[in-house]
Parts: sequence; structure tokens; C-alpha cells
Amino acid sequence: MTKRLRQPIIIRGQEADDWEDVAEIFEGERAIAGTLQLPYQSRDAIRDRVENPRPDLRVLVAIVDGRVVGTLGLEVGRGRQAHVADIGMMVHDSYQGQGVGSALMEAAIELAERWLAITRIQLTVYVDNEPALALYRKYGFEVEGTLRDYAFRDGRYVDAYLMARLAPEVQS
Amino acid sequence: MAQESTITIRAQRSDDQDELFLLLTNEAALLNSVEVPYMTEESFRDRFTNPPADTHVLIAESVLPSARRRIVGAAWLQTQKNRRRHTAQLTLLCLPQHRHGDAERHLLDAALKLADDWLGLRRVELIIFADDAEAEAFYGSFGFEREAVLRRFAMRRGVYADAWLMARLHTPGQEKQP
Repeated sequence: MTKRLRQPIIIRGQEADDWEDVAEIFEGERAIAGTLQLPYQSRDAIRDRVENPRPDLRVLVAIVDGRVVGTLGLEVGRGRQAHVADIGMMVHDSYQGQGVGSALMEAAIELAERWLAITRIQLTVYVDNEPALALYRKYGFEVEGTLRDYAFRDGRYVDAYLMARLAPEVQS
Repeated sequence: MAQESTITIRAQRSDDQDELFLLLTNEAALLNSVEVPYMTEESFRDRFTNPPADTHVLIAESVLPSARRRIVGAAWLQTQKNRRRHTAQLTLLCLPQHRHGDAERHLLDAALKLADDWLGLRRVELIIFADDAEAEAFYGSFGFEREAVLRRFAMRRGVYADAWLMARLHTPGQEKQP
């Protein structure tokens, strides 16, 4: 069962100063295994990514006890895919299963659907990542298919689900 | 049409820009890709001269009776990074009269040989619109299988159209299925 944190979880946009906390999230074994990140990344490279985010990427962070313990990137599509956004997220190994991912996801959905008029949010998740799958299902993401040998993880190729959440058509 | 012998597959050259612009801006291209109408030559020049890293471009050229050569199709094979470096995304476009014909078959065959025999890739993926049964059959004949339906994939002439993500797996270094 999810044990909720006693401290409140604050969500805000990622700031350049967050890079050291973010770099620590990137060092987590489970965080690496569950995403497309590599071990042994240089802190300089992570700092550069945090300080100079791509213009089409909106990054939210979750703060517990004054420290960034989760990060979520919402990549907004362009042109004929301006209604589509991609999500990638990571939670600090020691803070997984405590509501951080839910808080990030709720904020991302609000930003995407209530302010950016996104009607399709998509993501990929390894087929055996049960906690992440449960989180995404809770927020209305449905499996659209299985991508075989999607990525390499700890010595083997692993399949991923492509999942998407469709918003109701926007009314004017 | 006995066109088979007249199709050549080659690398992109610096003077291909104008013909590739026509390939990407005709109406059939709009219906089969996510290109946006009224693309400017200037924005295309930028794409042409600064392609994404790790993109291999293959050009299909046909020889006309006048001996003049004309670009009839192109393939873009973009290899992925890090933990997805065994995979590539493929985009293939041909002029309407060459779609699913010899030119497109030669292009796809060459792109897959590059992926299998020289880059040692394991997974090649592509996206087609879900109502394009011809494309599905065409790629299916090369071993691509449907993996996922992308609902509301892209706007296409007034409606949000669904798409199929198709992929073809190959174990590098192993004999291909006949």
C-alpha cells in the first residue's frame, strides 16, 4: 500500500538551482532502471540539461522537506501534433511509493489539459514496472500496444507498453 | 511498367534540396506524414543542411527516357541513442505514382539492409496512419508488425487521425528469414 508522506508535497516549475537535487535522483538504481537514463552520468551534463532546458519541454518538480525528490518533463508536440504531449518522470529511490508521482502527474495533467489544450498525453513504461503501471492506470492512461525489445536494461532487451490518456474534446 | 532496372538508390547529395522539397510538399506527402502545408523553402533548407544527428538518408532516383534523373522517393533512418541504440525510426516517402511500387520497394530494401547488415540494428520502427491498409500490407511484406495503435496521433485534413506503430525485429549477425 502507498504510505503517504506526512510533509506536504509542493509542485513547481524546475529552476536552474534544482540541478544538484535532480542529479541525485538520476543516481538512483531504481530510477535508472525504470527510465531510459544511463548510470555514471556526469553531474555537469545533468546540470547543463537542468539549466538549459529545451524550449518545448516543461519540467515540474516535487519538493518534500525543501528538497527536490521528483521530476516530470512534459514535451509538447508541434504542428499537426500540437495536441499531443509526451511525459517522462523520475522519483528519488527513497521517495517512491509515497504519493510523489501522483502529485507530479496530477499537476502535469492539469497543465496539459486545462492550460495547453493537450488532448493526448502519451508515455512508455517497461511492461514489468508494476508501480508505474498502477500510477498511470489510476490517471486514465490506457495501454495502446507493446513495443518489443524497446530498450536495453541491465543486460537484456525489455518490452515497453505505449500508454496514452485522451482528454474529452475541448468545448468553447 | 518495366521500371525496375531504372531505379537507383544512392546517398543524399548537396544539390538534392529542390527535388526533396517537392517530394515533401506534394499533397500525398501531407496525407502520409506529419508535414504541415505551406512549408517554406527556407525552413526546409535548414532541415536539409542540418539533419538530426545519426540520420541516414537514402534517395531513390529514376532514369527518364531522356536520360535525365529524377528523385522519386527518399528514406530517413534515424538511429536512437544510449539504451535505445539498437533501434531506429524509419520514414519513407515516395511521389504518389511510385508509392508501394518498385522505387519504394528498393528504398525499403536498401534501408533495411543498411540497418541489418551494416548498422547491426535490432529494431526498426515506423508509423503509418491507421486507415492506410496499403501501407500496412506493404510494410507487412517486409516483416513489420503492428504493435500499438496511437489514438489521435495527428491532425490530418480536419480530423484527428489514429496511427499504427509498426516494428520489425532482427537479430544482428543471424541469417535472415527467406
